[in-house]
Amino acid sequence: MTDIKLQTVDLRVCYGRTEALKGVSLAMPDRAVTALIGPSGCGKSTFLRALNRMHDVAGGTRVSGRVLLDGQDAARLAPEELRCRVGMVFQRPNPFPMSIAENAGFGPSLFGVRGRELARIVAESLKRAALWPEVKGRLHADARSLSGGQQQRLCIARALALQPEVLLMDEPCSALDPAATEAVEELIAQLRREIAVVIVTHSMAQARRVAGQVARFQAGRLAEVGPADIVLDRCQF
Amino acid sequence: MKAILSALAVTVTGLLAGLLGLLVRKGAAFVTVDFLLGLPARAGQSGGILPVLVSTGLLVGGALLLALPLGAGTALYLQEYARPGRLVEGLRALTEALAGVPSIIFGLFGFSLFVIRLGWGWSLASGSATLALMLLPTVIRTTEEALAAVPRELREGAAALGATRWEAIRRVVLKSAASGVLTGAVLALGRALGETAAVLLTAGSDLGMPTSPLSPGRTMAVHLYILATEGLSEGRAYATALVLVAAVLAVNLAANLLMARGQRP
Repeated sequence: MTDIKLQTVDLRVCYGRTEALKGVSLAMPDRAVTALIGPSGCGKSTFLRALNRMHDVAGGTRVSGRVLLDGQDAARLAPEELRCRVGMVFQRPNPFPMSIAENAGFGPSLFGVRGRELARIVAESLKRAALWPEVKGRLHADARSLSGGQQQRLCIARALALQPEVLLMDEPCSALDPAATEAVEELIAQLRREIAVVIVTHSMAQARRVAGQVARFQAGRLAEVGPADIVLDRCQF
Repeated sequence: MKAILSALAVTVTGLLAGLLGLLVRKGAAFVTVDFLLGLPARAGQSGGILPVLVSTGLLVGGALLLALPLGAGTALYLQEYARPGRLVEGLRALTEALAGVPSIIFGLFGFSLFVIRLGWGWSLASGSATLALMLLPTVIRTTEEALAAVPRELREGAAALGATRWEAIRRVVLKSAASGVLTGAVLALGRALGETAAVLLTAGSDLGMPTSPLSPGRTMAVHLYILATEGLSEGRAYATALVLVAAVLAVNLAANLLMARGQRP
């Protein structure tokens, strides 16, 4: 049994009066991929966004229950610190209106990293995200000039630049074409040797390709959790 | 129906072109280097308009310098920090209402507050402060709209990288909203350039070269108004109008360029 990196205990999220997540307890192992699957509106994205306290940003939500990072209560960390340790990649690529290098270095630059050190981190994260060969000659070009797949890998590089211990991915391939999807999946296969990855996906096939553990959500509850093969073979949808 | 509408369009465009044509026909001959860089003589009947240009620049520049930070700050608060609710809705309704108040009312208010109560007299300072108040609603509204148009994904993306709310605003949101904010500023500048009544009431109509913020001054719009109503020099009135219109057009062109730049992917 691998170590547990991230764990929730009776996690609940309410949007106004609607309870979107109704008490989910799930353990996510280190150096492995956990895929969250289930029909639309089953609470899997809501669950994911609770893991790095993203619900605090939008407001209008009430979160209860506990999130444990390395056994420590995440609520005791400053949200900024938690989000550095638990990175996130969104459904649609969301590069900032600035250059490729500035995007990749955004996180470290917030914490005062400058100059040569920042350039080193930028190059390293772009390499980790398998984007380096495509952009090394135009690091100062506007990030929005990249293709959708490249933008998404830039967003992954941006998250990796902070050396996160966990990477949360909210349907990272849903806006990408098959070739770009394959590139991102290869990347996930690399990452799972180093850190914990939690990915929301609509694709059974993708869950089977990348995940070790699969958690199936249903109507705001955890319906089933276990090794990918077993859970996916039982799923009929 | 199409014929009627196209005839309408042609007529209206023709009228606008005629307006410009009139200004050019009656004023262009007077717009010379001596006119632009010379000092006025005989109450503006001859000579140039240099002090008028300087007063206009200082007055309008001062107004923007006051209105932009105040307005942008207010918009940031309303859009990014304030909890949505009655108070915010009230403040927003108030600024909307202020945007519709005739400028002469602002002039009257500025006259009683800055010219009389604060004792600044008819001065560039009084004029700038009054214009700033008049521009605030526009600046607030355009800034708010620009901020509201920033996709939620960008704020969340910044937050997900450990940015505090202020860091996300300063480094991502404002950058994304910049062209919208600038466009609002340029539109405000255009309005300020053309304002006459409120400026006449607060900055006076002295033709001298301003020497301090408390000097009175005469802007292009006021100069034009006085030349025309006093029957001093029809040609110079048209020439001033031409320079003013050129300035306003330049400002609007700049606004369009900025907007086009902002829409680039």
